[in-house]
Order: sequence, then structure tokens, then C-alpha cells
Amino acid sequence: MAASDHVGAGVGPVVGPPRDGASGVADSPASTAADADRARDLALLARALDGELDAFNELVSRYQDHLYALVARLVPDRDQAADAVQEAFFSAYRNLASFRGGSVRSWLSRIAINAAMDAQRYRRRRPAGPYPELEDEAWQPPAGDEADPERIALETERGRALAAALAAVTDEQRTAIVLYDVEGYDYGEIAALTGVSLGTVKSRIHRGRLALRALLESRRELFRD
Amino acid sequence: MTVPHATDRPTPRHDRALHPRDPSQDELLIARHVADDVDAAERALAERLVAGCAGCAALAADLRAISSATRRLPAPRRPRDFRLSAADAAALRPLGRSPLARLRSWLAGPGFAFSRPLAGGLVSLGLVGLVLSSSLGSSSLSQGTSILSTVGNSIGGQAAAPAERAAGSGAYREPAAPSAAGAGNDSMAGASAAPSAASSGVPSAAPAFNGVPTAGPAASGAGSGTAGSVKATDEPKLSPGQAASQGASSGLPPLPILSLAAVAAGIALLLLRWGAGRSGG
Repeated sequence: MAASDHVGAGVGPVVGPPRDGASGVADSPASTAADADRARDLALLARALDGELDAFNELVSRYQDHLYALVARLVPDRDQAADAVQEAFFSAYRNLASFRGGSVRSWLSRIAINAAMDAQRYRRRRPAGPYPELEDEAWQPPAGDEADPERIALETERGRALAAALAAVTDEQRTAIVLYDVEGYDYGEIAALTGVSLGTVKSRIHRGRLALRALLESRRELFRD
Repeated sequence: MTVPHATDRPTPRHDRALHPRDPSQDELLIARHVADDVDAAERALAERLVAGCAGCAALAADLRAISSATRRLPAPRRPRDFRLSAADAAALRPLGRSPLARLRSWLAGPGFAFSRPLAGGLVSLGLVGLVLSSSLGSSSLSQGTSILSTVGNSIGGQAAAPAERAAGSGAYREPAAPSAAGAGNDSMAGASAAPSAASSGVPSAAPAFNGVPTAGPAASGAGSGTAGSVKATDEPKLSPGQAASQGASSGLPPLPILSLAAVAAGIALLLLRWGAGRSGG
């Protein structure tokens, strides 16, 4: 797979934290914890820049779950998604010096998103049929619903159906929907990340949702509480 | 149900006049309404559609449910550990922890990020200084030019001295203290390409030269004050360093030099940062 070294190296506007994560009150405990996390990330990054592999691997440990979940939603083939995530961490390690400040999490996410888009392009150049059927055990149960088996079963089935539908829409629509709905980026940030206009991002989201609805026509009951 | 268009062109604004009965446009309008991506007129139209059409209301409800479910999409489980091995790290960053790599990382990293604005400021200041110094009176500049030429002449004079010695000038005698600035050396005066003050016999405006470097350009031409004397005694012979210091102390405006230095330092900082970033990547 092509390396996604073009991420974060001062190319394009810097995309800030996702809109859902940026709405904290300045002095709230949550924002204090987030600040402490950011400071810790920056310290780890500085040590990694000094050549400490353990420090970089600590960053990997902190963010590999998040990055894999993000990339696997963009690249529904699990093997390709795993390769893309590994490539993203390789790229981040190679380009530690290109970090321009801000959030390490956002920086790594940008690298992972570019690695995922590289994987999508690679797949388009070498078509290999539809994405493989998803396996139930590949999905973690939603947090907070552990006590209700029926609820877990419904959520799992809903997630599986939705993931299958997402795998069937175009790469561009899936990327826009995942970045907007799941990751919480706003339209402008998605436009910057994907290199298209604001109008195109909106269109991809709206049309993508309509396409999802059409694909989930027979499973509507799953989405009605 | 109408399957949405496959294209991802920017969504056209809804226009009932252009699409009076186009269901796909109605669907798109409702999708945009659900995403709150409509203006006031479109919102009113979408609300009328949802209120007056069961299919439109179901579409809006489905889109909201799908959007909400997408937000709560369970996270796929990570199949492996992505931490890097030492071999991976060595292959990715072969320079490892060498001092050169550390320096390069620091130069290209956030710790040296201040270099860019600093470099920009230095270059700007330098350019402003150069413009100012060029617009300041020509006398200052000509003064500087004169000193620079003195330096050149002094160097030329020293270079020419051996040639004169070889020519067998009888008047030549070894200076008592060659290192002393301006030590008297009668015969060297002829060999020196020092400006005309000495050779043309024009009396110098500078005080009589007594073997001590005299401040100001007149020093280059300062002789013993003997007009027309071919043997311009006590002609100062300055080393380049002496001439430079003499120039600086003689009022050569430091602005051009400082400006040039600022521009050079700014460019050097930018090149350093750029080079480190490239090699670090």
C-alpha cells in the first residue's frame, strides 16, 4: 500500500478537534482532564522525537483502538483496515518531526484518515469484489448496555446492518458520513481532510444518508425504537 | 423509493419552479432539512412537505434514525497490536538516536518552531534597514565606500610590497615593528596604492599621522603633512582587520552591515528549518 506520508506535514489547513470534542467549558473537569491528556501526549511525542521508541509505542497503545475503529469504518475490509492503521503508525513515526503542535490525537487521526483513503484508492485500482461479510465478533458491545442482553442483541444487529449498508455506499459517501456522524468533524474540516469543496461534502452526506436508507429498506424495524 | 443520484456534485438549491414534481429533489430537500442545511425558504418548504406527506415524514424519521444509529455505531474490535518493534523503528528511522538525528529532529520539530516567525522578522528588518540605509544621505555611503576601498588598497599595498623589495628599492628598510599599525615605512608608500592624499601631495585634513591609525578616511591618505613629498613618510599600512575596525570606529554606518546580517541570518534560519524538515521526513 502506498504510504500516506503526505499527512500532517504542513499540507493544507490544520484541522482542529472534532466538533463534539471541542465543546467543553474551559475550566470544567472534563476539559482539565483533556488538557492533561494533551500535555501527556505532547511529552510522549517529544520523547519519541528524541528517539525513545517506548514513548511512541505508548502513544500507539493510547490511540490504536480509536484509529482502528475509525479506519475500519472507512475501509470495511478488516485486513486492509489493519494494514492501513499499521501504515498510519509507520507514517507517524517517520514524520514525527512534521507535527506542528495542537492535538496529537487529531494529528494521528488525520494520518489514519489519509491512510484509509489510500487504501480505498488502492482497492479501486485493483477491484476485488464487494467487501467481505462482517462478523459479529468483530464488533464490541456498546458501552453502558452490558446489563441488557436484548438491548445488546438489538444494537449488535443494528450495527451490523448499518455497517453492511455503509460498506455498500461509495467510498466518498462513506468517508463523509463517518467523519461527520461518527468522528464529529464539521463540514469545513471534512472538506479540508478530503480535498473537496464544502458543497461536495454536504452533498455526499445527504446523498449518502439517502442511499443508506434505501439499502436498509428491509431492516427499518431495527432503527425504530 | 427513489434511489439517490450516484453523483456527488454539490447539491443544487431547491427550486420548486425548476423541479415542480421531482421526487428526488424533495428527498434531497428533506435530507438537507434533517441535517439543518437549508435556508429559511427551504425550511418552510421542507416542513410543509413533511407535514403534508406521509412518505416525506417517514423519510425524515428514517434519516434521523440512521444518523443517530451511525453515531452509536459499535467500534470494530482491533485484530492486532500496532506497536512498533525495534526492527520497525530502525527501518523507519535508520539514524536512530544519533546526535545528528536528535539535532535534526529538534530543528524540524515544534521546539524550533519559533524559527519561522523569527526568520521572517529578521529578513523584514534587514530589508527595511537596507532600504533606509540606501535612502540615507549618499555621504554616509560614500564614506563607507571610501573605507572599503582603503581596505582593498591596504591589502593591495601589502601584496605589492614584496614585489618592490624584489625590484631592489634602495630606500627599503625593514620596519622596526611590522605588526604595529601604521609603523613608519617610507618606501612602502610608493608601493601602496593608497589614495592620492599621499601621492598627490594634497594635504590631508586629518591630523598629522604619527604611526597611530587615525580615525576616518583621511587616515588612508595621511602622510607626514609634507606636501608634495614623494617620500611620503609614515604612510599608514593597515591590515584588513585594522582597517575594518578603523572603519567601524570612524563612523561607517552599521545599519547596512546589520541589515545584511539580519537578512542573512533570517535566510539561514529558514534554510536550516526547511533542510531539517526534509531530511527528517
